[in-house]
Amino acid sequence: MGNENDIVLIVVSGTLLMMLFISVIILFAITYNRKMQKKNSEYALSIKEKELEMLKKIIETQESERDKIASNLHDEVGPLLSKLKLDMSSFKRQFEKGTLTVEKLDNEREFIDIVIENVRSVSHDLSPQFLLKFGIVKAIKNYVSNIENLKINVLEKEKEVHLSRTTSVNTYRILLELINNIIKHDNATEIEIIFEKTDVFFRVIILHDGKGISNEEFKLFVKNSKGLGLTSIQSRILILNAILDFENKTKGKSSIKLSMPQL
Amino acid sequence: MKDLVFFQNIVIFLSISSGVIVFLFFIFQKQSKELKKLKWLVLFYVFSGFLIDLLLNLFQVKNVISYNGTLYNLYSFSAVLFLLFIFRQLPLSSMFKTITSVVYGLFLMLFCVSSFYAKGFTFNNVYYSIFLSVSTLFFVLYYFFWKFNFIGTISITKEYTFWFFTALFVYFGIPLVLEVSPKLLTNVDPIAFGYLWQIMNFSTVLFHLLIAKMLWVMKMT
Repeated sequence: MGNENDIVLIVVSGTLLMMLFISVIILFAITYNRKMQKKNSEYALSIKEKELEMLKKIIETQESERDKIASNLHDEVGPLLSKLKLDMSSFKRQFEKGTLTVEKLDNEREFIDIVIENVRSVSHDLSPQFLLKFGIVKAIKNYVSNIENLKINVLEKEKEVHLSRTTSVNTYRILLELINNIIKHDNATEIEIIFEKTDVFFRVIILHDGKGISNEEFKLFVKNSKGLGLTSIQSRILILNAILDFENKTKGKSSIKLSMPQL
Repeated sequence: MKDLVFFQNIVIFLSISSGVIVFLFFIFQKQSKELKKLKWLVLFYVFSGFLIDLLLNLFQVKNVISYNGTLYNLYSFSAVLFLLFIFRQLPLSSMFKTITSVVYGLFLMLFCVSSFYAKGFTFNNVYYSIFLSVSTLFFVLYYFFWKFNFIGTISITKEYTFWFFTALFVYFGIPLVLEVSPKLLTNVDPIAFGYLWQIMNFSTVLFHLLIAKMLWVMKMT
């Protein structure tokens, strides 16, 4: 009888153990799968949110650029052309009276030069032709050559830096914004811009003797900024899949590194 | 004691009637053409199991045990046929399909030679059932291991193959200890043996329910 009970006990306990083993595997598969799916869907949602944020910033930047062009045309080119029209009417009257002088016409020609310069500036805002024609390094060199009271040195570590149109335009706009910010807020007297390019990445390093900012400060500025300059930098960084790294006063110099994958 | 007999009868009743649920699912659910073959194979196996279960219990009621060997052999035969063909219908890797075909094909050959030429169809060799269960469990565990690679990217509970392998896991896993100890069980009196045998019927009930779930998921696929 004892032997018989032992056999029953062995079979029953063995079966219960087997049932436990099967339940553990199946329940583990189901719960683990649910957990992983939840994690994946949360990740997908965060990616979607980031994409939406990026899209929002891109649209904001586009709108701000359109506003800038519209205000340039309205506030600068518009009044200049109106003045030109009035001058033409006045010149007609003066011509009829015989009081129109060559000096007045020369002045008017200089005035037309200002109008042309303004139109060129608007055109440059729309599409930087110089950049597209001569590349990012020359475009930056050309831009900084017009800045007075500041020593700016542009170095190119690779002989030729060829970038796609999107990369060129976005990098150019970021650099312009950064240079302007350094001039405006950092009290720099000397700026060095270094272009580096490998098979894997493209990097621009801006070194300056101004006070500079840290990454945390930049994030704070972006958060609290009401202007569109920093938002534009951020949206372009997202477009380029780039990294912007700020460091203030390391070895006597502050730096900004803009790195992006080389496609 | 009366309670145990009542419990035993309930399990037997459930084991047979749960097969009906599968038939109902089979009749009322329309599946795509690709899954129809699979559905027919499942029906074949559930129906043969249902029939053998019914006959075994009928003979047990009448105290006739001379047909048990033949019925168990018929059951093993239908099981191996079912397993041999069903794995080929499932969306699994070609290597998995080849291995299962070779294993079950060899098993079928051995089983036929042994049953028809060596010991006769009335003699039931328990080692065949053990081999069938162990090899199937091995394939089931391989499936789960393979599925873990895709976890998170797919919802495994929405895949009919998951329910099919779960059904196999339960059906061949729960009664495994009972199957590997037949010699021990001969030392137990027939009444206790009858109670222990309900483990087999219990796993059949779960198998039928899980197959019904599989058919339900197939409908959604």
